[in-house]
Amino acid sequence: MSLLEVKNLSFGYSRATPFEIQALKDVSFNIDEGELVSVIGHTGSGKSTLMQMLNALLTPEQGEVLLEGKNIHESKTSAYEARFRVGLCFQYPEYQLFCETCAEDIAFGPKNMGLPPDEIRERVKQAARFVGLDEALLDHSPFDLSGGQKRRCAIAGVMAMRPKILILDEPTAGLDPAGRSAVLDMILHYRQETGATVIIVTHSMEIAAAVSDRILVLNQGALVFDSTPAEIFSHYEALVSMGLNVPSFTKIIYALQKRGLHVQNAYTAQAAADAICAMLHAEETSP
Amino acid sequence: MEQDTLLKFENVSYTYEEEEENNRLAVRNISFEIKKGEFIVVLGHNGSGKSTIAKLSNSIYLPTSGRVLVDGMDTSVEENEIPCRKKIGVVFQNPDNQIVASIVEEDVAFGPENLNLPQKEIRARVDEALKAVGMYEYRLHETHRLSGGQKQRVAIAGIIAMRPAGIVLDEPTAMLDPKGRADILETVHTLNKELGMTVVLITHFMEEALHADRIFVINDAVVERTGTPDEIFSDAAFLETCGLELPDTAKLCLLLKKRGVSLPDRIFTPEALIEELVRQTERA
Ligand SMILES: Nc1ncnc2c1ncn2[C@@H]1O[C@H](COP(=O)(O)OP(=O)(O)OP(=O)(O)O)[C@@H](O)[C@H]1O
Ligand SMILES: Nc1ncnc2c1ncn2[C@@H]1O[C@H](COP(=O)(O)OP(=O)(O)OP(=O)(O)O)[C@@H](O)[C@H]1O
Ligand SMILES: [Mg+2]
Ligand SMILES: [Mg+2]
Repeated sequence: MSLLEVKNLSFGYSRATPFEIQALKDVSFNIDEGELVSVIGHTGSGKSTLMQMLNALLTPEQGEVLLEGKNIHESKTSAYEARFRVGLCFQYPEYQLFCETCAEDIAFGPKNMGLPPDEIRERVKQAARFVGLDEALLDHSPFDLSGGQKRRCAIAGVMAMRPKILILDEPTAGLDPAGRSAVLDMILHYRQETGATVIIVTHSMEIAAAVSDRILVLNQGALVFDSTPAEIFSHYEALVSMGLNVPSFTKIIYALQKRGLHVQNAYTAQAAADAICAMLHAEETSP
Repeated sequence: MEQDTLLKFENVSYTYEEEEENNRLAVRNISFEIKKGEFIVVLGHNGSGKSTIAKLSNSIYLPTSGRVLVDGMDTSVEENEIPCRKKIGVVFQNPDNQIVASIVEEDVAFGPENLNLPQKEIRARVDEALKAVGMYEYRLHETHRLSGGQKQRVAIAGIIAMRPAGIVLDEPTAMLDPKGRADILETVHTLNKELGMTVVLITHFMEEALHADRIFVINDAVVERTGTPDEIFSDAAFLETCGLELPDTAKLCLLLKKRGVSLPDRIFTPEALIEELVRQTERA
């Protein structure tokens, strides 16, 4: 049994109106304990809708979500519990900070879980450490923080619930390059330390290629690919036709292949550098 | 001021009201000039002052000190407010702040309607703008039900439909998928090349700066450096101190050089690297 089993999910918005939208169509997949899975797909493909279904903020019209074998949408209690066990950090979460201090914002989830004050304090501190938020900032208003710091504060709030599954909906959108790598590093570090299962929604093919064990591709509400980065990014044309692409490094490799050069496929900067070196070396030594 | 200057900042500083007591400046004594028809990309870390500069560009904010001139008009002079906003359109960072109507095509028509254009002209501009951003099929949809990326595109269409002399886009591609990003970039480059529209593009993606005429690097409320993409991207250490990075191709070049591959300096675009590698294999 997988940690998370998603079975035949379907969902539509604005039913019985002229604006009816089928946001998810018969989506099924499994996620195992400890996996890091990325979800990619064009804008409006249903990624955020799907994520909100995995922690029971939305209820599917058809299909079910099983967490450790139990249907999270079965009852009000199971849905409520799912919010803590599957921690969802929204797209642009900084717009949802509302407490007087950062510490209170981070403590919001743990408080709702009914944890004792000592435990909450401990968790707030630990989560702040994970995201690299200076302890001195914890007493500040979240509105005093920079964009990148707000994002970290919001992510810490989800981490503090110590969810079994941590979902981050576009965690690096709007961050500067330094902020992007800092937030990614901190997610990877959190995962390493806690063994948590992580799902990342992203529009960056480079990030999906660099961090994922597996990638899910949504297209117009349907799950069209569920595979390793190598397998996914071998479908160049299919991805382009869905509004996606391959990582920038892969594009260079494919262009070289098109020019008749023998170079191995690669999906990250390091792998592309290795492949190109091997190609140049082979050219030199060939007669 | 010269005739061919669209936007000029003269020793501009700006303080947000909330920050007045701390004496903290969001923008500190900056000066620059943007020529008609230029394509400028603005890079800078979070909180460096980019959005503040965008809002100073068409009189949404007025300088605390210094002057902003739009086609020679001082934005601080009250009568100039409307003419300045017609000259330079700003697409905000958060599209939710920008959507005004409940139906997509009404939202895009809002600007042109205020220009008192004939109905037929408005219709044509709205359709053209929606097609340019790939949202034509959504023209009858409700705006509040769109995804983030879809809203962003509608906001851009709203500005394009006004046909301003210049357009400032504040991170227009932050929420978009790869095709959406490429489409928006192509759209703004076309507006620049074919209609001669001046473009100021604010972004956190180095790749989007590769084909700019000039790049402005903002750092801690000042314009730290301006230069061509070649000039700016040749200084990796400088980029890092500003919280920025090399474009992907340049990163790959660095890794190749570390592995002993000899490459000329200043390769920043994929096309340049591909040509160089093909050349090297042909020589071998
Ligand atoms: N509250 C809502 N009411 C009606 N339709 C909605 C609502 N939220 C989303 N939709 C529609 O459902 C579809 C899926 O939206 P969703 O937000 O899940 O996409 P997404 O893949 O997360 O997109 P993005 O990459 O832009 O964040 C879109 O067509 C969107 O317009
Ligand atoms: N409404 C506001 N009130 C008070 N301070 C503000 C306000 N908006 C921005 N600031 C502050 O002004 C400075 C510049 O902000 P600005 O939004 O211009 O940065 P930016 O470069 O656009 O950042 P980002 O890349 O995160 O969008 C920051 O220190 C920010 O905290
Ligand atoms: Mg989304
Ligand atoms: Mg900004």
